[in-house]
Amino acid sequence: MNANATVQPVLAAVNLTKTFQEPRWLKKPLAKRPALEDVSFELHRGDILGIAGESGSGKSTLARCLTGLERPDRGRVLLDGVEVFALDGERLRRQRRRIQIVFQDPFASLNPRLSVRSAIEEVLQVHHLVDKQGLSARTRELLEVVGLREADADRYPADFSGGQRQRICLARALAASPDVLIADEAVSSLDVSIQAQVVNLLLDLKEELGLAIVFISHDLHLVQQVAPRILVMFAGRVVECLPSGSGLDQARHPYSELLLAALPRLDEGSSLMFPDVGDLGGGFPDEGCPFRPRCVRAADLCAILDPELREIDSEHLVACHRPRKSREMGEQSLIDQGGASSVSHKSSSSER
Amino acid sequence: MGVGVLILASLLGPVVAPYSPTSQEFAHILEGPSASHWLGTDELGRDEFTRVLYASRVDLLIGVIGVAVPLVIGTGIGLVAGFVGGWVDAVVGRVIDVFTAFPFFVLVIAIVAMLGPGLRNLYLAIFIVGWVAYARIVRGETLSVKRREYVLAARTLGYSAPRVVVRHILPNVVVPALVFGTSDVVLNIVIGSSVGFFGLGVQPPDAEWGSMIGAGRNFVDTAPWLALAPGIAIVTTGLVFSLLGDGVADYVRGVERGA
Amino acid sequence: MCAGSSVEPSSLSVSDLHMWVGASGKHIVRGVSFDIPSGSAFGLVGESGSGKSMTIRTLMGLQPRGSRIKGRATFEDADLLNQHSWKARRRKAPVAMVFQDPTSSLNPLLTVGDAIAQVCRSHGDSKQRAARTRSLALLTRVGIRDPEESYRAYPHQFSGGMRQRVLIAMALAVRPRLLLADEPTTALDVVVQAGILRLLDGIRREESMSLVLVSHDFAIVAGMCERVGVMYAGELLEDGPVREVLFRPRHPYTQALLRSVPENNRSGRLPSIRGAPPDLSELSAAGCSFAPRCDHAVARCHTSPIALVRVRPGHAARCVFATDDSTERVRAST
Repeated sequence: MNANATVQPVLAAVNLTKTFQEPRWLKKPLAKRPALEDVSFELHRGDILGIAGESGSGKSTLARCLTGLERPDRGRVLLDGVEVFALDGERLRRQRRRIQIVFQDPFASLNPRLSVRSAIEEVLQVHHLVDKQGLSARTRELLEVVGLREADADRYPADFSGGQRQRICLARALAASPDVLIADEAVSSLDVSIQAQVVNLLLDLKEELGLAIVFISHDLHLVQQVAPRILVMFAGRVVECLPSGSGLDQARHPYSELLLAALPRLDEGSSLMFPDVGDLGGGFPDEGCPFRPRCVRAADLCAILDPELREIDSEHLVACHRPRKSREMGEQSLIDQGGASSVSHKSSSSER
Repeated sequence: MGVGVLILASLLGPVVAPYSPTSQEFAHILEGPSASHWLGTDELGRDEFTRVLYASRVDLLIGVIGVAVPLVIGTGIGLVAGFVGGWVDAVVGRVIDVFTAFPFFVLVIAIVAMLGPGLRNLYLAIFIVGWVAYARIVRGETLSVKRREYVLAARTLGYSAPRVVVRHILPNVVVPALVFGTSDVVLNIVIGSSVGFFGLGVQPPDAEWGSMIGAGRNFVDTAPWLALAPGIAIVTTGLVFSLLGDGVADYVRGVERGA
Repeated sequence: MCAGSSVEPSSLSVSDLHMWVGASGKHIVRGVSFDIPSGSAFGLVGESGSGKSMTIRTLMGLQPRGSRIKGRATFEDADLLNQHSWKARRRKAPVAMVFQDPTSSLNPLLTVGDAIAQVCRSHGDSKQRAARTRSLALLTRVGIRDPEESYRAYPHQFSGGMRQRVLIAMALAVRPRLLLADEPTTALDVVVQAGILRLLDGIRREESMSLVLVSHDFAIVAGMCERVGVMYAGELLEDGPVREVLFRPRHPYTQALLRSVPENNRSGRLPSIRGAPPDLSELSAAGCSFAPRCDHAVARCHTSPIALVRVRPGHAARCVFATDDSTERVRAST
């Protein structure tokens, strides 16, 4: 996927698959569609990978598998070539330090009973990253890097705003000296102006520390802003992988197109209409392409065969039997899908 | 503050008491309150006031230890069950459900009746039955806290499970248990007294409010103060601890809202 | 502030609205005024702490207990702030509200159909059958297929988007003339959001309702509203037609905010506003609330009260530089 084929990626996901079973008493668990299905990518140092998806797309499950919070059923996570889940106990715990995560909710991401200093120093101590004398100096350094003051170190999370808490979470994550940082909707609950500040901070960290970042968000514009390469996820799989430089309108998968069409535009020329395609939170068909029920271009093939990711352009992959042709004016037809689905489709849009 | 006075009284009891609680002076049987005996004497000539004071230690200890030990046991079990999940949690959950189905009093009295009277057995019974309430509280809180992002962060940061449980989960789940504990002290004192009233608790000649009431029962017409004094002591102590519990709960709620 | 059109009477008129909240009397809403012509949509945009939610809740009578209000707000000549006339107003010109979180707004013990029917019954359709009929009609109106089946379903069986549609149906049950929507789609996915916005837009136009839409998302307001007001620290800093405010903003705050929106930028760093929104309990009465963070601030911005400047008919900004002709186009590219 990347031109630097000779340099080993710092993080690689290979065919990650995870299904959440619903256990039942004394019976076989209910079969469900996988939360993650065959997700693979490579990430190099100093690179940012954007992952765009809505709830139920599997992006959170992916984040949890990458950080070791969930164990995938199949597939591997490789850190500098070392398979993370093949390790155990002590070695696993030490490797985990190298991938850190910042979550969406700044209010639940910090232990309310620990002062900022305690939270950061704990990381340094557990992993023996500095000796006793160096603790407070390093803490001060980390706080400065994220734009906080040393005086903030002895305060408690309750004293800070959402944006500041995210910075504290960043400082805590950085304390582990990670190679990879996952931002799982890390700026989604922040105001626009604070969002900009935190995004800039992430970009600075990438530049200064060579940090590799996985940036997950449902806001396509934001993902495009931050990441040179975007993976679009739907129903647990990657449906499109494209470079963001040429613009999001280069997206060819019908779901990507839908996502773009649905995004409200701050565009002077845009119409006031929003596409009404009903709730995607219905069930997915058991066979074939999961997007088929909502896809205008669906053909008979789509009901039978699951499309695989195929390269249709340089650096551009799509998992679709009938992706949009480059110059096709297909966007209008995606929009009018009619009314909302009925209640018989149980919601599967819960975040995992 | 009331608690302070009570604790003080119980600690100082032996020092302040003018008489030994067990010394009997048959010459002064069943005397009413007087200058030399502030609460009168009981049927064996012992000074009532002294006995009430000595009994305060016994009952207070029942209250406090009867909370402290089950709190620790229950918190531990609740934490582990909630954190580990799986069949461990399922088993613990069912055990908690079974115990909760029985009224606390009935179970304690039943166990004491089985084991035989005495203070030690009373404690045993309270421990056996008492941990359940705490386990239930802590387990519930643990189940919800362990999914919070700061716990996830602790795991991602590579902290060992014991560290995550003790440093990150425990401080955040124990508060409701502590609040419950302050009001539970009253319950324990009452149960200790009730058991004593039935003669199943502290045995003579030791003083204990419940047993004193039980003994004083026979003399309600002639010497009502014998039953009254310990009775008032129980009520007052209960009131003090209840107020304490309310105060703690209010304080905690205020802190949480502020945060 | 100025009315959208000088000929039509405003249906919703808010004048110098103030609100103080809590024991310390935090001044959360500071002199907000705007008018909405009958049947049009007004967007209220701002970041958290701007007071936009509180403003709209006050119009609905949902201000928090212990809060103090000053000012006027009338809808079709009925006083919204006076609780007594509220009941009379309900009959003449009802106001309905749609909230942000559909999950906590629906009673989990009531079937969806019953929930809507309940509202119908307290607003005219007092008979069981009439209420049920109307409830079914409303379910269809908000785009829920199989209304018969959905009627009997409980909220937890619906997805977030469907629940929001149910909430909208409940709001419609009162036959509102004014609809207040407080971030109705923030909790929803992008595609679902599009459907809900389209629904709201369609309903608003068909019933000629007035709409006040509160959002932190400029783009949503751009698509749904004719006029928009930008709030900051409890004040309305800019107010005007959507096309003007969002593409030719006059207030430095609006300008800075629009500049930080990813859509208005090429990739890389985003322009940001230094500092953070002020603590409302510490804000001084003198001067502009945005001055500490403003790149254009001069001495008098900090000391004297800032008057509302009419930039052109229908567009005003609370800034001393508002009439400056160097209008700033916000888009980074063509």
